[in-house]
Amino acid sequence: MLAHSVFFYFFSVIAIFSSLMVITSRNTVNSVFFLILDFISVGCLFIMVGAEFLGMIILIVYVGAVAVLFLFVVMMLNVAEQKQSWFIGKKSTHIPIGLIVSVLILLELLVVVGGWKYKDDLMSSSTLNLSDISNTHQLGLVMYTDYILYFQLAGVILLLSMIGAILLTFRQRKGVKKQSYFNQISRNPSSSIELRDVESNKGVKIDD
Amino acid sequence: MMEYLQILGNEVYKILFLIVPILVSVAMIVWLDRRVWGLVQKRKGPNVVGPFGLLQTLADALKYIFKEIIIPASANKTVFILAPIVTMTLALVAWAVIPMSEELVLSDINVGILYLFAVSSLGVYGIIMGGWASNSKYPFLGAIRSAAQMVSYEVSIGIIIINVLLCVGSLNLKDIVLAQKELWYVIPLFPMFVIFFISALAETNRPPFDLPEAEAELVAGYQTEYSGMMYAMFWLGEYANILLMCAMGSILFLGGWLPITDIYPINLVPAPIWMILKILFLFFLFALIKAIVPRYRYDQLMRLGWKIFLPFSLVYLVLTASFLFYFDKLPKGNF
Amino acid sequence: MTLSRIFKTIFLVEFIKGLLMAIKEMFKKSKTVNYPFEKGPISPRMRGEHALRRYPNGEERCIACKLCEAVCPAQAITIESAERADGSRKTTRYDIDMLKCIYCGLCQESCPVEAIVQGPNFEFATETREELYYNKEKLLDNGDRWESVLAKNIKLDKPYR
Repeated sequence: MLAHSVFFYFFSVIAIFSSLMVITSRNTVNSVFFLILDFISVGCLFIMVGAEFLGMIILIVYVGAVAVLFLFVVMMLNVAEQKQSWFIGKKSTHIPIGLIVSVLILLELLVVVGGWKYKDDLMSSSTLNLSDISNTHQLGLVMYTDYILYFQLAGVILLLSMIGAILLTFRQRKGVKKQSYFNQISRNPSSSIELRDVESNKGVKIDD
Repeated sequence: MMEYLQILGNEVYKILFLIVPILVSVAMIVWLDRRVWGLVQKRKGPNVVGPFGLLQTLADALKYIFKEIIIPASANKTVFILAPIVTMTLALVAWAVIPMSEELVLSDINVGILYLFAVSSLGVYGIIMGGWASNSKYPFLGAIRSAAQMVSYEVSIGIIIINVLLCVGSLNLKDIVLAQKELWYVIPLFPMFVIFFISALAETNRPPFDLPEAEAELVAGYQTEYSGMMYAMFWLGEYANILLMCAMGSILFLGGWLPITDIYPINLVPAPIWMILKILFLFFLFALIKAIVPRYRYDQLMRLGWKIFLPFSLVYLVLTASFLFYFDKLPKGNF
Repeated sequence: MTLSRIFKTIFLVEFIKGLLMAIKEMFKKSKTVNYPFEKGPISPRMRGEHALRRYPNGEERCIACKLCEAVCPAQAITIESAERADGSRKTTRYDIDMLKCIYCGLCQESCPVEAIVQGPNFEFATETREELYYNKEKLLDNGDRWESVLAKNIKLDKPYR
């Protein structure tokens, strides 16, 4: 048990430290790296409490895909290193807004923690019984029975946003010669070569 | 606490017994790769150091150890050094869940296939970090290419894995292998196997998808600024990843450690040997393909990943699900 | 876009053909010449390392006519001559700067007595530059060492000169 708590504190300290570094680090790319470290240690914490499916999903979705895109954007923007940290700066306009947002999040967390106490009244599941089946199966059972509608709705919303993003960036300009390599490689001599007898001083008109 | 330390001690020795064979087999696999490549081109390949040149990789590694490690003046030093270490570690750490036989596995976790998928999707960080920290144009372009490439092909690999999981009904690698006792999934899911194989080529930056290190336009891609042992670590990590992908392919489609048929003389061959043979077979294909294909253009690569593989594997997923549902063959699960 | 084309694309026909061909090629004999142990054939006209030849009785062939020095496009050859006690004109110095030499073979062409020749040896790399400033002693030594091959090569090439 002692070792378990040692590991728990180890990962929590890393998680807290790295999340602090995310907002204090001067280099934006470094802060994304710390964000990744944060995700990983949170994933480890999930695995430690026995929710291995959620932990792996955090690793796959957040670390493997979302954070890569974060890094991508930050690298592409080429944000210069901040000369002043936010807490040293003379008059930063970000602090009041940041404070308001963090107070809001704190209140929300309080509500969530408060709600957890009355969770038996708030939500009930017909299929969830905490027997010895693995939490992956439990998750599946709940998600595809009680919450199937919300699950599907979430999927549809994601699909819609994906289609929207593609639609916004998809444009076809006219008059642009595009390569279609499939057509290029499927050409054969009979359709692309024409042999002609050329009379002298006449020439052949091509490209008409 | 003492008891825990004892367990830890036991595990450390097991880990050592896993890591050392993997590193040795990575060295052998590099040799095999070069040898096959040479043979296809009617060359000889490395044949000087050791018998048949088997120790060539060892000699190369020794050379890299004695070379100077150069860190560019404008590089981000910490990240620059971290990048090859991350690549190498991630490539080795995934082997913890690969079962070589029914008993021979370091950690038999419930969500083995997810773990494998997660670790292989983390592999992109070594490349991005290396490319960014070098603070130079070629590595950066290589890193960006590779990030986009690996993320795109992970999606199709994920859907292929779902295809297999649909037939198995468990995320445990052992269960996945044992479910193939009657029929290897390579037969019913053959198109998925082909797509998995091609996606694995893209995932490990092998030809024809070796765009991150396309020497014609990017010198050496993300490893341009690396030298000495750090370059060697990238290199070893890359090959360990290839080996891992071969192991993943053999577990998902070729029935892992199961023998070809359960007939008397054949099933006497020990299980780990079957596993190794299957991994070697897949790697042999990897090496052959390196020798015969030209490099893809970047837009062709993206088109292949998003417009062909992804829709095709999705359609096949629906087909598999309908088939299993219609013939009432959906896995019942153990609960 | 024909039907067979679509079929070929979907079932990766060309790719599999390539794969089979690669496997077939694997079992063919490799074309590699295992260099330090095996060497490729060398033409009798090979323009390799220089050598000064002697007559069979041990007399140097070179008569210090300095034609080679004159014709050398890289000006790699330096010759000084003096009259010997028996009245014949011989070289006192015959230097070739192998670093300047472009191995064009003009010295051999111009030589009236077939004294300076370029032999079939191409493995004379050294660790220092100084070793590649050949003097008369070294060239004569080369001539003695390679004489049998040189004579044979000259004989073989004779009909075409």
